[in-house]
Formats: sequence, C-alpha cells, structure tokens
Amino acid sequence: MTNTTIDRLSNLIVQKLDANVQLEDIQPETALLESGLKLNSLAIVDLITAVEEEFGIQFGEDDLNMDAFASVAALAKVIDSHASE
Amino acid sequence: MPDFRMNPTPFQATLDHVSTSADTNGNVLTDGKSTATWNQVPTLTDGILRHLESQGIGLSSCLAVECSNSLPGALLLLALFRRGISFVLVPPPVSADLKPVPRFCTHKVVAATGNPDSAPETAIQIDSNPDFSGLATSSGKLYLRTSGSMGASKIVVHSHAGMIGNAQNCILKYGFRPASRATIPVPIAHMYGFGAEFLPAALAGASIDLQDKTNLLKYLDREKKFEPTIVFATPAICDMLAKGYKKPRTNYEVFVTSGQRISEDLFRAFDPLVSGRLINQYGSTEMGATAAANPGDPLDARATTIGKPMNGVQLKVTPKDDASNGSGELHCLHPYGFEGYLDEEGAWISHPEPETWYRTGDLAFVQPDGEIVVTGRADASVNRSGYLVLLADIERILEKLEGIGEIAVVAATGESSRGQRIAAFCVPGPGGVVDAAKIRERCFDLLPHYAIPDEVRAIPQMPLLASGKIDRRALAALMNE
Repeated sequence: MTNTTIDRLSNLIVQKLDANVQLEDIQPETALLESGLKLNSLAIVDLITAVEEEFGIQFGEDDLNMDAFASVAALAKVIDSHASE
Repeated sequence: MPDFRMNPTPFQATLDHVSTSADTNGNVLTDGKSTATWNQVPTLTDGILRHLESQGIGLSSCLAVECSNSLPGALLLLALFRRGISFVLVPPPVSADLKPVPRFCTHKVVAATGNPDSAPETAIQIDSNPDFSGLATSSGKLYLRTSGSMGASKIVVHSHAGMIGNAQNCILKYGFRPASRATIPVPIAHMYGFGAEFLPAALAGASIDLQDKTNLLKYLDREKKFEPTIVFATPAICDMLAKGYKKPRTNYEVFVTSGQRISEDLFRAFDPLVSGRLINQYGSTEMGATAAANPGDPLDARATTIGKPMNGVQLKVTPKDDASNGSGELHCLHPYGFEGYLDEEGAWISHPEPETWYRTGDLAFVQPDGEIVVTGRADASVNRSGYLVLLADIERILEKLEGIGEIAVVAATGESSRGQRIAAFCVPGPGGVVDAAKIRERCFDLLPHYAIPDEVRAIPQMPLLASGKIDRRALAALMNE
C-alpha cells in the first residue's frame, strides 16, 4: 500500500512542482526539505495542495509539521493514514 | 577591559531598564535553537563587545554586518546599538543579490546561527576589510542598502538615535509592551524587520521569536510553541499562511504586512484567518515606518489604505495637474527619516537639508477622512501612442481578473506599434489558473488600446529581491529574452 503511495507521491513531486526534481532524485528516505530535495517555501505549499488533490484527502494542521515532511516515506505514511479513514 | 557604562548611549539606558524590569522577567529572545532571557542580555552583549574590542573594534570603526535571523545576530545588533558603533547591514549573500562590503568599512562581521551551549560571540566571525579606504566615519550610524528595485543600490544613512525614534513610533502604533510576543519571519538585516519590529520589540522588552528562512511547516511549528501576539510579514507570507491555515487564529493582536502592496483579494481572504487584525504598513528604507492603519479600523479601510501617518510624520500628495483627480506622487517629511545616500566609497551622493520633503516615488491619493491609498510607483510609466501610461494602473485593473493572485506589469527595451513595449506577468491565486491568452483578450475590454500589454505571460511565482519586493528588472529581462 505504502509503496504505491510512495510511487504516486514521487511522480507528483516530479510532475506538479516547479522545483526541478527528477524521478531518479527520489528515494523513499529522501528528505523533502533542506538536506534532500530542498523544496522552498512556495514548493511546500504547492506540494500540500497537490497531494490533497491527487489523493482526495485534507491534511489537518497537526499533519503539517517537519516530521510529516521529513521524507517521501514519512509523508506517504501520513497520506495513507488519511486514505484509510 | 573597556567600561561600556562610562558614556551610556540612550539605547543602553533603555536596554538596562528592560533587562532589570520586573515586567520583562522571563521574557525571551529566541531563534528556536538558542534562547536568552532579557536579564541575560547585558552580560551576553558585554561578551560580544569585549570580543569586538579584542579585535581592535571601537567607536571609530565601521562594520559590515552580515546577520541572519539568529540569536547571535540579534545580540550583535543590540551590542552595537548599546555601544553606538556604526555598521552597515549587509543581507546574507543570496547568489542573485550578492553585495560587496563598502570600502568605508573597517571590518566584516558575520553572525552565524550559534551553538546553544556556547557563548554567542563564538558564532561571530570578524575579518578586517582588505579594501578599507581609510576614510573615517562617525559613530552612531546605521547604514542600509536600498533594494534597488528600479536601479542600482545606494547606501542609506540613518543615526542610531533616529532609528530609536522610529522604533518608538512603532511602539506607539502597534502597542509593543513587555507582554507582547513578537515573531519576526522577515530578515532583521532590513529596515522593515529591524526598524519596525525588532528594535521596537527590544525597547519594549517583549519576547521575540526570530525565524530564519521561514516556510509553512516552520512557521506553524514555531507559532504553536511561541503563540505570537504580533508579527511583521509580507504578502508572500500571508499567501502561504492563507493556504496553510486550516482554522482561524485568535492569538494575534496585530498582523502587519508590508514590503510591497498586498492585493485586496489576498487581504480580504487572509484577514478573517487572523481575526481581523491584518494591517498594511507603509514605509521605506529611507523613511522607516511611515504610516499604517489601526488594527481596530473597519476591514474596508485596512484592506484598501495605509491608514494615516505615524506620530510626527507628514505625508502630502502633489497632483501633476487638474486632470489627475487628486492622485499624485506621495511626499514625506519624517522626523526620523534618513540623512542621505552614500556611495560605496562613503562619499555623499545626496545629503538633503533637514526638513526636506522626501519624494517617495509612490503614487497615492488622500481619502476625505485623511486615510491614504497608495496606488503604485510614480516612476513606472511609459509613453504609448502619445499617452503617459502608468504601469501601476494596468496592474490595478488586471489584478481584479479571476484567477490572478499577483500581477506585475513591466516596461522592456524595444518598441511595439504602440510605443515602448510592456508585458504583464501573472501568478495564479490560490486554486486559480492563469490563461495568458484569455487575459490578453480581456485586456481589450478593460483597457484603452494604448495600455494593452504587448505580451501577457503566466509564471509560477514572482522573482523577488532579497527585500521581498518584486524584482522588476528580472521580469524585464525575461521579456527581452
């Protein structure tokens, strides 16, 4: 389940964000922010909007924290927790 | 060891009062990693001053200070104000906006993010300036660079005393007090973050939370922990939070936006999320904080005007002719305004007499009740088919179109059949889509033929200067590609 979410999330980052990220840059453990993809302030907001649209979920404010966005896998886990609701 | 208390500066007296007052007991200065309480500040700034002194820095020095929103950076600025040492605030290098150290600086001082377990001076690196010209400068000055939005950067001269006057105006306007909790997500190396928020909050002994390179996740995390009552933001930060807030906030007494004009749509969308406490401040590097609405003013006044001038500040609009309907360039007489401009060598480029009205370069009109509406830049105009076209006018009309979040109209080199070429760059608003071809079609209905941009382009985000203002020269360059 999570693997599929990771794949969908990775594709979404490559296709929907204007952040110059290629699919080969992304591993499940790749950090989204400083030490990894270095998504900037605007890209983070775009990512949240794109994930909500793609997965048909609504993040709660408690989800919008550094831990949830620590890596692709971490964010996929948060997405899965919403999808199973 | 130098005795810093021999000739106390006015700032030192206030800072000493703040540090010992029972009202500020427990109030903090934090960057999220390191924290100091106000009663530790005299000892910590003494340590920094001794460190500077050991490198030969004193009242005859002038420092180029590169300072991020960190605790060591904030303490360094407080130490320099305490002692009255002159310095140039050099924003941290951004590749596109790299600025050299002016030749009248004796040293370059960089304040990095500190290690919480070490004294703040260990995060401060001092180098003498190899290009120092030998020019002697006065003490007690603060030098800031202009943003250079429409031209080359100049160095703006302020006195520490003037900055403190400016800060006292902000205390009066925004109600800074020991119980205030001030979040600073904008650079403290610029007039806005330093002069309008950091200094007033420090003089009031408020708790201060410095955020370096903020983003939505950082902001939400720190907001939850710090519970700010006042913040100074930009339209870009308002837009970010408008998208990220899932529920309205009730902790803000004042939520200030400045740096560039906020679109009325964004203002009206974001204001309810901060309980109707959003206000638009008007200011500049030259004049400091100049005008702002009051947080209690009705929404319409806050969303469309910059309110009335701050204490002791005079603003007047000088219409070009009778046909301008009372709209014209905004002039300012500010008791704490700048002293003039210097070049990189430290020579005066201009040094106006005191009591000289400053031309802001902004267009405005005054409403019957005295509130001022700023409409755009006076110098952003082009001649098209014999008509003078103000680019700001086009922006104001097109920004109302559905889907548009932000718009900038710029002039480029080269001529079209209508005169100097102009282009509109549009960024979609929250959930909006910008169809450049459709917008240009709509221009034919909304604008006189001579004002229709030769080109409309949709871009994902505006290029920004380090100051947060739209980089119009970068946009013009895009058009010339």
